[in-house]
Amino acid sequence: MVGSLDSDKRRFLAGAAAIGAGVAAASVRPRDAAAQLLDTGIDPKSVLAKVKKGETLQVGYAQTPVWFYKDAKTGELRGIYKDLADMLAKDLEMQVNYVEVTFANATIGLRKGDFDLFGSSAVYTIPRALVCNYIGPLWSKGSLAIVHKDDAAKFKTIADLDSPDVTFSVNAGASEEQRMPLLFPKAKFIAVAGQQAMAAEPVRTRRATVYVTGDSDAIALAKRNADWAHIVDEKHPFDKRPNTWMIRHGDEPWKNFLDMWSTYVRVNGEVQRLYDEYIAKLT
Amino acid sequence: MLDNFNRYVLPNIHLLARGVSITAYICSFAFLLALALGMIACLIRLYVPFVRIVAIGYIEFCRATPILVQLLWVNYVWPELFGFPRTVTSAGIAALALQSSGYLAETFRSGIEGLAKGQREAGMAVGMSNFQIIRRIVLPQVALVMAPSIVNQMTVVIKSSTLVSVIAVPDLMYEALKIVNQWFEPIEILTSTALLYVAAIFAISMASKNVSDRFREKFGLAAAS
Repeated sequence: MVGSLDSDKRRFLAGAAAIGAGVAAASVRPRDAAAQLLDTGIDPKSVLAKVKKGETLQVGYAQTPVWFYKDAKTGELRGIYKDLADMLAKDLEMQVNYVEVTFANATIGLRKGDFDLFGSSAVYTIPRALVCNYIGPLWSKGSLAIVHKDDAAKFKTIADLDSPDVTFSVNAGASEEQRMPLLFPKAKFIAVAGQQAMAAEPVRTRRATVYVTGDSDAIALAKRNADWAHIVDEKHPFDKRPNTWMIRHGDEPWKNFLDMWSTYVRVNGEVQRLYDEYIAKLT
Repeated sequence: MLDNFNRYVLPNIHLLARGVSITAYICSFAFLLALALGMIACLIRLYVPFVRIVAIGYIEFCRATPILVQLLWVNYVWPELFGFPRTVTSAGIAALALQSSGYLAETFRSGIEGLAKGQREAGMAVGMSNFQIIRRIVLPQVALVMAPSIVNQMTVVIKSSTLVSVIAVPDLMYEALKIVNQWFEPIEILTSTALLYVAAIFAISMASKNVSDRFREKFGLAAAS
């Protein structure tokens, strides 16, 4: 009799609890429920919204030694900015897909939406800034000029290169194509398509006098081509500019996030550490 | 789009015009060289038995390798092996000529072999010399048959010439890409460039049609299909 009463009491209480929960749920309207979720304030079209959904991050790159390149022996992607991109992906807990382009079509690919971030070493130039947005910057670098060893005695300083008898070879679409004619107005210029290293070929074959590229890129190339390459005034890189990543204009949340992240990796010394590591391997 | 056209294309029209002149220069020389090389290869293949295999090898090589491969090979490897070409422009001309000569050799061969044997025999029967037979009987008929293929090959040379921009030859494509790389606005610039190529090729096709119509009238030959 007692056991039966306890059982009845439990069933009654369970039933009352169920009814109570049902009434409580029904009293909260869907609109109120939705309002209780936190609004991030991020534009759904932003890459940051895509990041929050956990989709794959598309990163474009153009090969340039030390910063973002394919190891010739293993085919593996390496470089200072490659390692940083991996770090970003890890921080965001995302998969990354790397898309190779050339500097000439990097901004076009970015604007078309082929990738969300151009992760190679993009030097600040005004024309580029008019079409794409720079983040950070992550680093800055100067330029160095490489001549053939046979011409080493003729060109001791950069000023010696500003002559009508000098032909510059630059990579088509790289920042040097825009910057160098302004710095060396008397010289002639040719722009070679393809990856960065192709623009050094005319100097090797003596069709051009000098090849200009970023300071670390020049050191890497000169080391690999010690039989013909000579850097002019190696201790004094010229035209120092920020080199960093690019994103599309109009994506403020993504820009703000990457600015924050780039400040973080600069301040905590991660960029410096990677730079020192890769340069040490060169020298 | 019109704003970009006014801002980026019109102020640089002189650069595009300069590119057009270089393209015309390269294509003209490349095509003339291709005609000569193609004819030599064809005649060797047809009439010089002991080196026929060399001519066949040359023709097949020219036809089987992509133009970009030939261009890079001529520009970067030939100077090391042969000491020429010394400039990128001559490398571009050489590569384009090499590529087209293979196709033209086969065009010439099909034209010559397609002529009935009786035509030559008829010329010999009335006492014509070999030179007269070739000039007055063989060439007019063979030329008319080969003309469409030869003109087609010329348009191929013009289209292929865009690749010489890869080795920094300052042709129309190179100048257009230079402007694109400066301002990063490809649509208007590359559309204008494409229209310039269309205009050039259309003009050549029309001129060729006029010439072959007159040729046909002069020699009273039936229209080639």
